[in-house]
Amino acid sequence: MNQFFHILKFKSKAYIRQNSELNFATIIKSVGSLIIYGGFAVGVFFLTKSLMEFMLEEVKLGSFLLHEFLSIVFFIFFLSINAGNIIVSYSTLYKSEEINFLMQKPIKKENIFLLKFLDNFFYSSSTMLLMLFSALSAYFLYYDYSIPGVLAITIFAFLPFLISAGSLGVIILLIIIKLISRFGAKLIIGLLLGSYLTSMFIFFKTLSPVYLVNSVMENYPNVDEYYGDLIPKFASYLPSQWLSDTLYWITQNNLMQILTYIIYINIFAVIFFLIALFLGKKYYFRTWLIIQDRSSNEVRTNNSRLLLSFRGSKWLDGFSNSILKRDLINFFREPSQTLHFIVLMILMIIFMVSLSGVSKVLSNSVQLKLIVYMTIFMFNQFLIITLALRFVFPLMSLEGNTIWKMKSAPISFKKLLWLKQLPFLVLIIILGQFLSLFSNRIFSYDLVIFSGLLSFFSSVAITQVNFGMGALFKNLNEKNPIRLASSQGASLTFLLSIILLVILAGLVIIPLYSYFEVTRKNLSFDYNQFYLVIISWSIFASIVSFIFNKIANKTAFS
Amino acid sequence: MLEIKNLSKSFGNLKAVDKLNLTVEQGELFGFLGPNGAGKTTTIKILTGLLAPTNGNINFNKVDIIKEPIKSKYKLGYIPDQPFLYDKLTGHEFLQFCGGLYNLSNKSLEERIEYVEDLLKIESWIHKKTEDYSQGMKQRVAIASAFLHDPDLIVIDEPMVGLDPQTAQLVKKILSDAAENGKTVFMSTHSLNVVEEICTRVGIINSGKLIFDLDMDSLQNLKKEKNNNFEELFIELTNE
Repeated sequence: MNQFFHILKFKSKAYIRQNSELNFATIIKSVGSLIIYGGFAVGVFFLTKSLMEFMLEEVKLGSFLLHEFLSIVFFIFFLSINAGNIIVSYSTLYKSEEINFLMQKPIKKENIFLLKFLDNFFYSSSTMLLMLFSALSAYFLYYDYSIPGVLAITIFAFLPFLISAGSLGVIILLIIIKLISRFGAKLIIGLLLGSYLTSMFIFFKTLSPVYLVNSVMENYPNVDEYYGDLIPKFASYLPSQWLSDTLYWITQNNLMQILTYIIYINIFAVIFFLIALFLGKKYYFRTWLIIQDRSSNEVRTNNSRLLLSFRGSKWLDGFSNSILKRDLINFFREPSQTLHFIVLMILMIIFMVSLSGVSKVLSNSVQLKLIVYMTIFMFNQFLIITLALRFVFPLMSLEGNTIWKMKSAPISFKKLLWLKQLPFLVLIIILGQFLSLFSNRIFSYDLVIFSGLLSFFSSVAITQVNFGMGALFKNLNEKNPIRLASSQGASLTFLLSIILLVILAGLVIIPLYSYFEVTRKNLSFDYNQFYLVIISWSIFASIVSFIFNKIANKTAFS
Repeated sequence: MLEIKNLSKSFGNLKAVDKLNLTVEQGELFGFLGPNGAGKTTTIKILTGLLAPTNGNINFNKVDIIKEPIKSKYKLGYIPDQPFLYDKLTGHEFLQFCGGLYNLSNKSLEERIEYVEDLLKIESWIHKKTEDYSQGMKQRVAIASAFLHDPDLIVIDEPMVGLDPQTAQLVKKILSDAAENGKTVFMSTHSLNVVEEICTRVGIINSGKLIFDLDMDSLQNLKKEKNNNFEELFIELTNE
């Protein structure tokens, strides 16, 4: 264990030094981060508080339904962390230069495993923990609880919840690598994705929000009582349900129930953590060797596929052909890129398909319609932000140490920057349009066009923000796109994108309210309100795009 | 003494190392030559625990490197061609870090650091962060870290990459001295002149098989048949 703490000490030293260097650029970055992080934390706080007030006082949803909705959110959250941790751990536990270095030293493999496990967990969770703490503070303030209470729940309920999701991710990773060596990657990864889809399907099939709302509302006004019978047996064994139940019983001041669920959550976390450690001790080095063998054995028959061939193209000049093909090949040959991309695409498809069910819960209430619409609208934008952050932000850093080739080549840097972001810009615009189409057609086709236009400008602006910030915060030594997308610069970019999202939400909310109200009354809507929003947003998004495009041009090759 | 017995490593159908048998005695400086893709790096990766062999075993001073990796690594100093250093640590801190991995006590660690800093002539810039180092400076810190725990076996992959002539000469001297002081040195390289200059024995690997294993006197005799040109001999031996 001494060795473990020794490594931890030096890694912390390097980490602290990285984040505490004092020069003009780092001071500006730190002050900027502080303002944006602080602003974001305050924003999340007030948004959560307003949502709570609205749902409990305006819509009168009741405590039970509120916490059941939270349980659904926590379930999705659990799966996201879990899937995310599989991908992050693959890169950091198996594909990093640091691991190669540590493996040469007389260090117990379980120490290396534990170090990287903790490294992953805390490195990629800092922004998430900040959001969580702000949201929890607002939640507890609503119920008049103190800050120590928030801290206690964060430490004793949320942290173990996150640890169990992360541990399960690593457990799955170790098992699938063992299985891949026997049955092949395609089959095992296919089965894994299939099981994620199946678990989502079963969850939503058994825990139907529509059924819950209808059943609880039959007992109106007693909507704060605990209707445990409505929770399916299957869901009651899930940590997401225990977490939401903990919060529910806090609101009811039932200490025994609170302790019971906290004990469940912690036991679950300890068990999963211990299983992860046990499997890590048993299989980590073996699976690491399997990955090394697979990497050494990789033989690529270049030019075998026309799409990824470097041979000249009829449609592209030599320079564009080289850059586009290189980036495509690099993308498709990096498992963490393709896997993450597939996972995000599947999540998007599930989201788009599940939207058809939303029409069943749309009532005539303008307020409820507006909330549902805004939630979906924001979620669409959030997906675009996630895609851009994960795939556009790391683009410049991934030039890596080959940047000398670009700098010394007789090429236009401006054109190079456009070529680098073009495939993702097009992809994000197209996905944004699909999301708009699927999420708005359940409301009206007027909104499809309205949202489609807004989404087009958001997609361009968010891509530019991510590309510009990615250039400003580029780290040519980091080859891992996941680490790049969860770095401090990336967190800052994420928060900036969220600010854009909040501005957009502020612009659309009043015209939308008016639209829903007018259409409910079968009156004619003044479309000038929509035109004004579209024009304002297009101008604002264009200015933002221009600024961040300039930042990219100035900093990418500096 | 380093003993490699029947070592094989296959990647699918490719035999990267094919029944390699080799013994390097204590005090020998063994030059491991071969064209690109011949199996040098695979052999070194197995030696240092970065790959598992398909067959065979490796012992160093009667310790099985594959079965007892931790015990054997205490005796091993490895210098890769592309060393990994933590960017935000200084060279001195990196050495302190490495010393801790070998459980050196504080007192002996500081003494050893002083010794290797002096040996590699790195005192003047060792307190700078490693992110500011040139390739050659990084290489020197990596060499210093490999000698820090006074290993009995030194495995070095392309020792002269990025080194200026003065440093290259210094490194050659360090390796020769190490062998003279009873260390076993296993050096993989493409530089034939370095091998001729400092090695006591040379082996050539090609397509995973050891095709040549001679001491320097025998090499000199063979060279005479080729107009004293080692390069010509090497090309002839490795041409398929």
